[in-house]
Amino acid sequence: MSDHLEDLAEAVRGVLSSRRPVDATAPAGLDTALWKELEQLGFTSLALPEELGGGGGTVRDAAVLVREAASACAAVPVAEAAFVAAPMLAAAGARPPNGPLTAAPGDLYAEPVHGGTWRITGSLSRVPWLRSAGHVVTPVTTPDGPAVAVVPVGHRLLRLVEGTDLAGEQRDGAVLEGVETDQVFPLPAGTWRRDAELYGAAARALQMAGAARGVLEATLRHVGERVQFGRPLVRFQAVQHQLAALAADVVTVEVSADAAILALLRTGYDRELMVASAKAEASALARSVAAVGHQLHGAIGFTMEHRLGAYTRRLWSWRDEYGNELYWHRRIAELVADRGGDVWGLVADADRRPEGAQVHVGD
Amino acid sequence: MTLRITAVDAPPGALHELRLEVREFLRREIAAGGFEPEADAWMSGVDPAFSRRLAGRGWVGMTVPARYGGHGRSALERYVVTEELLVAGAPVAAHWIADRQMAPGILRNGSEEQKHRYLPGIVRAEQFMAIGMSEPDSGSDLASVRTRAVEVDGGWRLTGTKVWTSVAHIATAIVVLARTDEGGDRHSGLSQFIVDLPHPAVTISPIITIDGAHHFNEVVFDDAVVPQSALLGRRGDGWRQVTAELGNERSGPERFLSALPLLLAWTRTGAFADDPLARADLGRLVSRLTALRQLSLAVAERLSAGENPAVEAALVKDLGTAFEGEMVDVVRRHVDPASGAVPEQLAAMLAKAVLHVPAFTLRGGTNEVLRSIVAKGLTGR
Ligand SMILES: Cc1cc2nc3c(=O)[nH]c(=O)nc-3n(C[C@H](O)[C@H](O)[C@H](O)COP(=O)(O)OP(=O)(O)OC[C@H]3O[C@@H](n4cnc5c(N)ncnc54)[C@H](O)[C@@H]3O)c2cc1C
Repeated sequence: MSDHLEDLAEAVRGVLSSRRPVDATAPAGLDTALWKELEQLGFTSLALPEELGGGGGTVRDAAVLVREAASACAAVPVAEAAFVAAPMLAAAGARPPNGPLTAAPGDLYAEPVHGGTWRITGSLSRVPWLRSAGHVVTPVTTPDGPAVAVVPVGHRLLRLVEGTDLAGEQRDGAVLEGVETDQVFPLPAGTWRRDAELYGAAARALQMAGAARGVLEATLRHVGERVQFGRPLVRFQAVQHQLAALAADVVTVEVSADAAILALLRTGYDRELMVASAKAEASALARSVAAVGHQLHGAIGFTMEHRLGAYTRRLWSWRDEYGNELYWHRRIAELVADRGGDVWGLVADADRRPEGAQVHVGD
Repeated sequence: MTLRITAVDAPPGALHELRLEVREFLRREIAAGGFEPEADAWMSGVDPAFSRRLAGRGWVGMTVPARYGGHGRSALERYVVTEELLVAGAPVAAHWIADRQMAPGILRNGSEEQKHRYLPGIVRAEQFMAIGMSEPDSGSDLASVRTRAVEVDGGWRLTGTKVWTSVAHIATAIVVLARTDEGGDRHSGLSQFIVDLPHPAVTISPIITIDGAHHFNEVVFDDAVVPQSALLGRRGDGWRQVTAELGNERSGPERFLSALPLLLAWTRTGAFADDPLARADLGRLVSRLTALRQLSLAVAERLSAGENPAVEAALVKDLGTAFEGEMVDVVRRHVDPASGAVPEQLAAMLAKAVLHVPAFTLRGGTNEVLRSIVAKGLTGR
């Protein structure tokens, strides 16, 4: 990692240090104090251009924030803000509102009514921290093409459907029955819903890398301390081999998430493959990472009072969000089919447009 | 140690011109009947004439400095060429070991005389080399080797037996790990020797593998006397030298690409396209291939920066070799020769690949040994 990214990680860790999980209990709700602190330090708008009040950073900077927040199991929608909202807001030249901001691709339609006001209808599902956020940023379809909407969550025509995920984090649905707002900004032609999904998947892969590392660290510590048969567990070869397999899986999740971010940064043709692989690997390996972590912890890891569950519960939730492994495996097969079965061309030349390949247009 | 691997910030299209050049060369070779693509050909495809044609293009000993007859190319350039050769299933086994680990080993540890003596020949694909590490009673426990080298007038006398020695029957030299000194801990007292072949007191006999082929050999040293200059590196430094060599041996793309020619032979038939199960399985393989390649590239970069990422190389080889075996099995499930619709070449490639799978997780250090190395690295024990 470059010095700049290392410094950034250090700074983010500083803010998060007092919030690391001590057990597996569900968060009480969105940590608004933490959001405020991150917002004041400019972290929540890190990847937005300076003209829009952002930090002018890249997706790589945002990735540092998202991974660190996930390692701390922080109850703030920074992944949504930095990966799903920021690219659309930047493209539309729109400033983000103050206060907690979440984002999600949904199925929404906006029509102009009068004097710059729009009326939004449609639905959103399983949006992180929706009920606690001030606004949700989402792509919408308008009669004139794609746009991004900054929807006030408290609007009386927005009906919340509250829910939680496996980690006890808020995942709320919403039905919009004509929410009126002037915060709708046209976007240039493009595949915005698909992009929001891609960025969301990359963010989840990063978060899972952070949580998977948490499992590895907790497990390493546990097997070094716990004594059975007169020696620490780590002295048993069966345990060592499980640890090695765990480390290999964790490193795989980390490196593929890194590689996905680098591909997004380059905006080459390989970004879809790299993100697909990162999310598919993370989702597929969540099972073995959690399984080994729990097996080596024994019963204590299965309790609410141990922090292992804070990581594994999130892995189990996040693996299904923004596409599980089967979803992305199928998407990858589509990419292979588009290249006439040339797997190697896809993998090795993926940042070059294949000759004669189909290009997906629209959503 | 906190085991960390960082993805390489190099676009996959870097060195694309070189990649295309190698592909075009291979395409013409296949069209002209120069070779037939096979899975795992880096182990079984021995074709000295092909190796020399490749050398003629400057693609053997690529990273050897020009003063030793080499091409002074970067490790990443070599990585690209290596990938393309593996993916095409080209018969590279004759020169593979010399190119992969003996040239770097001699560069690291050899005398000036040894460098001038061996490297130009390796680069021209005239020197082919074998690895004399394993013995009948020393496999995973390599430090227990019993082959002895005793200093005699003007040289060394080697006595002992090496087994599973790949390509020894065509090699012009073998690098032997032998015990030179007793006492001290078991990792000290080992040394490496380069023994020119053929040698009157060295007997090489084939050992036939379960695919019915002759890949590896038994090599018996019956008081074989070699000159003083055969000692590679420092006396007693053999263990350290071999460990560094294993970094080269374990980190390359052949540890996850051995079966790729088979996968391509299947996907190019297009048979997966209308089968949802086949698509899902294929997507899983390509996802993993993409991830493992990033891991492998990251380790290769560390290696080329002069580090010895032994733990990381072990981790990637463990994952990669298990993956190669899985790849063969996935293709097998979707290619049913009984259906009568499978091209002959694909069926033959599959049959051979199935018979090679057990070797994937043994050669170059078993996956159990690799996991122990990773665990040691993780826990510092
Ligand atoms: C195709 C092929 C080519 C080869 N080419 C060469 C070559 O060119 N030169 C060369 O020197 N060697 C070569 N080898 C040998 C290879 O390096 C050895 O096979 C390997 O190191 C394992 O040794 P072994 O076969 O004696 O098995 P063993 O060491 O006897 O192992 C048998 C089983 O026991 C397990 N085991 C052993 N020790 C432990 C332990 N401490 N903890 C847990 N499990 C353990 C192993 O993992 C394995 O599963 C080749 C092997 C193959 C298959």
